[in-house]
Amino acid sequence: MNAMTKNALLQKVREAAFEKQEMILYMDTHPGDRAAMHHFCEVRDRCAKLTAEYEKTYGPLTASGVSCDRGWTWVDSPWPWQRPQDVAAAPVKAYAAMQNTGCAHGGYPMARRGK
Amino acid sequence: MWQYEKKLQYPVNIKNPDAKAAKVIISQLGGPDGELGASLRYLNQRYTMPYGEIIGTLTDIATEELAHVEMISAILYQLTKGLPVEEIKKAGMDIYFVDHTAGIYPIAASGVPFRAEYFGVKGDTYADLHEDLAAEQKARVTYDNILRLVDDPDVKDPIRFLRERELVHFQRFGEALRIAQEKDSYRNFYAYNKQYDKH
Repeated sequence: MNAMTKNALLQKVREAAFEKQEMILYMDTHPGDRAAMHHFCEVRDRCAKLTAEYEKTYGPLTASGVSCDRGWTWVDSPWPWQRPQDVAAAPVKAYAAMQNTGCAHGGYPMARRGK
Repeated sequence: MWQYEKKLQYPVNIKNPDAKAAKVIISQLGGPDGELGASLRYLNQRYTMPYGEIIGTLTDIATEELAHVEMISAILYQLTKGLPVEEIKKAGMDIYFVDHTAGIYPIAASGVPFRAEYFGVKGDTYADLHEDLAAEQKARVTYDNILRLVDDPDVKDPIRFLRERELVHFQRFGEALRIAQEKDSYRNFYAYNKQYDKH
């Protein structure tokens, strides 16, 4: 299977998750509907598979979806409300400069790391 | 988006109903330093935060606070279930009962319904994180006060758990503040919002 782009795969996850949500709401008021129950289980498994595929390639959708060999990628950008230009605006330069100065703590007690 | 888990974060098993205890504990549902306000405070502050570590911290603590809303609600439910009207009157809970029966409705112990004024969203990294640090301390004090006012160990046990979570959240917000200051500039002694001034 060809690797899907991030947005295309996320859209597939979103559609499966929405279908699952619709089935959940339906099942809540029709707990005895066996045909619908069968459909729910199919959707749930499809959704889980797509979610696992997305997380493996593009990073976690929930905090516990992080991959253990890649570190704590949960805090990586973007967050769902951030556009590409919002992420690019993050001022990381000051941090890099700070780490090179050898006086990273700047004498400010709240900035002191417990190393 | 969010998903619900059908479990309390920490168990609540109260054997004896107690309207008087419910009357003070309800402040941690709908009061000025309650769990509902805490969750909404962090959820709403996330959007304009500049760093993933802070957005992640706010997201994950806000989510945990929703679990605390459920725990407080479970405590209130168990404290008021099956209470005879005489008991309700004796405890002075009749003024709640007349509007809400034994339903779970967010009010402060004083009777004031939940208000959005209980939390602040300033849109400024430092102002908001300091608000969060203060909020966790104030919630901790409210739990300290509840522990002074309530005797039943069945009630005190989950309240102690919730109190400890305030301490942990305070620690994490302190670290989030430190991360913001380190990333902005080591010269930012005065803790103002560099992001905003750049725009």
